[in-house]
Amino acid sequence: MESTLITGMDMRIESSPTAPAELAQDAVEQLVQQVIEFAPSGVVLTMAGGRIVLVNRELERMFGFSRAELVGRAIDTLVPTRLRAGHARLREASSNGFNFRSPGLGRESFGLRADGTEFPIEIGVNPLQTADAIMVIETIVDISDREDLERMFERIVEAAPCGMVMIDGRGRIVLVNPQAESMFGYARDELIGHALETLLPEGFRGRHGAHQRDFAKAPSMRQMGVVRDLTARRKDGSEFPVEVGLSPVPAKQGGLVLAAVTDITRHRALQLELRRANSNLEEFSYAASHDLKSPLRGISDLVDWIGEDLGGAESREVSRNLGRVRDRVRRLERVIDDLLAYALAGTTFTDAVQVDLQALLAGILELLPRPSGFGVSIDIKAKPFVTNKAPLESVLRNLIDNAFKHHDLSAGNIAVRVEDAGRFCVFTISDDGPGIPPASQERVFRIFQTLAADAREHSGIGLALSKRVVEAHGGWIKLDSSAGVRGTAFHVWWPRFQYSKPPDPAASS
Amino acid sequence: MTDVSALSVLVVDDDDVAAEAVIRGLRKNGMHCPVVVAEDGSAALQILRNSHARRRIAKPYLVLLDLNTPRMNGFEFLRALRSDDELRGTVVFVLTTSGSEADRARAYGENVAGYMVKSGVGPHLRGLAQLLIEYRASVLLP
Repeated sequence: MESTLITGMDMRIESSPTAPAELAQDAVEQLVQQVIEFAPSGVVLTMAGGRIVLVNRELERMFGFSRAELVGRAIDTLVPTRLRAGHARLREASSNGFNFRSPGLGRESFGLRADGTEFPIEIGVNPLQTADAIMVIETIVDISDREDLERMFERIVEAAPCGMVMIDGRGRIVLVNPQAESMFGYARDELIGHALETLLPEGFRGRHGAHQRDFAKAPSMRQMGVVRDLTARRKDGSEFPVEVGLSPVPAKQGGLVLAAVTDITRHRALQLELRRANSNLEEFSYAASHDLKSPLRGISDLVDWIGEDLGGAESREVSRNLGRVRDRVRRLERVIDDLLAYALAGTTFTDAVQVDLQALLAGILELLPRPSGFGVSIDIKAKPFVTNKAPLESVLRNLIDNAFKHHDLSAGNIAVRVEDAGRFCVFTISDDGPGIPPASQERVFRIFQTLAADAREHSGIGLALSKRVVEAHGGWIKLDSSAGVRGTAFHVWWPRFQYSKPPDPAASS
Repeated sequence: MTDVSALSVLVVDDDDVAAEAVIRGLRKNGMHCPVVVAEDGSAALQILRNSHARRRIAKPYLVLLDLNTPRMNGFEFLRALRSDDELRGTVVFVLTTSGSEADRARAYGENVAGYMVKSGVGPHLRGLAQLLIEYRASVLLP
């Protein structure tokens, strides 16, 4: 430092023992001047009393003053009134040599712009010993951007829909958001600085240490409580089920982990309710299959026996009516079967297999009674995929069968087209039948609705069942038929990938 | 008449029409044998223990059991049967309308000789009659 000599705006620098011997004195001065002028942080040089003798370009930009406006003025011009005393002490301490050991940046404060606004800065204060006097050089960095980021982070944490808890490398809580406070029933200052174990149930505390060390060894984003049941503990000692997302936070202070905690009590309750409803449904369908079918079978037997006992002696009228009873019994049996299938649709998932679309459709057509005069064309542009085959097969069979059954002419054509559409495979079954009037289009998907006059052939559940099956597997079904134009097309979007939960069809269309 | 050896059948079914259907079906398909009907599990136990007020059954016999009977259902009957020293070896076929997998597994857990769904044994129980005819001809019963 002794080798540096600066007086006023006229900078002359004595050559130091370490300065390159080749450089002339003038050249060195010029170089230093330029280094200061173009430094990326603001630089202001003051006399010990606080009079500004030099500022650089970045400082002008930062504070909105021109050089001419500042040189000769007091340093306080750049300091908000309330901070002036503190700033003066800092300069004084510095010029007494206290700050030598930690030169450079380090102190956060505020700067005062020419327009009167303040902005956050980081400031470093260092003394300069010249031949005549002690001067002070201050370097200033505008940290508005950094503050913005910090505020943004805070805002995100505060506004997150779940509880957020950040812990440091020693497992101490360093941050919580209001959601976490209300979820756990603690106030912020009851948590900050305390061990994370505070939020865990007694029985879990011991084990958690090991988990935490494992995470520290290989920190990565991960989800907990999805597979295993995870429980957290409130201040009042009550426990509740949670899901926790963990992510390591990259920061100078290592080992920070941010945990996003979701209270899944409601979710669990719904799950239980659903399970109960499903088991009720199973019981219902069991009862329906036995208690409804047995008497029907009895009726059917009794009708047979009456016929047998009459031994052909019955009148035509009696014989016709016995036949009508049998018809109705059969119809009722079919309705019960269909109702059961409808009730249970989508509750049983078989194992997924690779589906060969050509073979699947050929198999369906082979088993379906096809009226003579009907042609079927198949056009497959989709790749094979893995899915639950049986439900897909039943839906396609039903739609193709419908196309045959509801055709009003003795000859017709049915086209089956299969295409890929993103994560769906789209099956289109179109016919050249009478079409479905717009007014009836919504109705056909409802249970017990049939447009056919001959209700004996159709229980009216087929389309409702297909819709239910498709939706249970995460797809959807739609029909196209225009008023006054022949033909109907059914489109089925069937997911090419397995989902544990049906996605929202509207979101993906 | 094809009844080469004596075999009696105990039909356990609360529906008298269903029981009669079994009797008629067997007869129509050439399986002539004494058939006794019990309207539920406890009546069936009384008959097998020879303690029923009116009905008796002669050995050898086998039981055709419907699962859903009132008072004592099919499974309760099976449990009582298997824990009775005298009766635990009784040959029982389940003959029911329920095709439920759970019922089937549970019935075989109680050592039934076979599980038949009514709709699966052919028109007028022809398959059942044929099975019993063959069974009687080749199986030695307790």
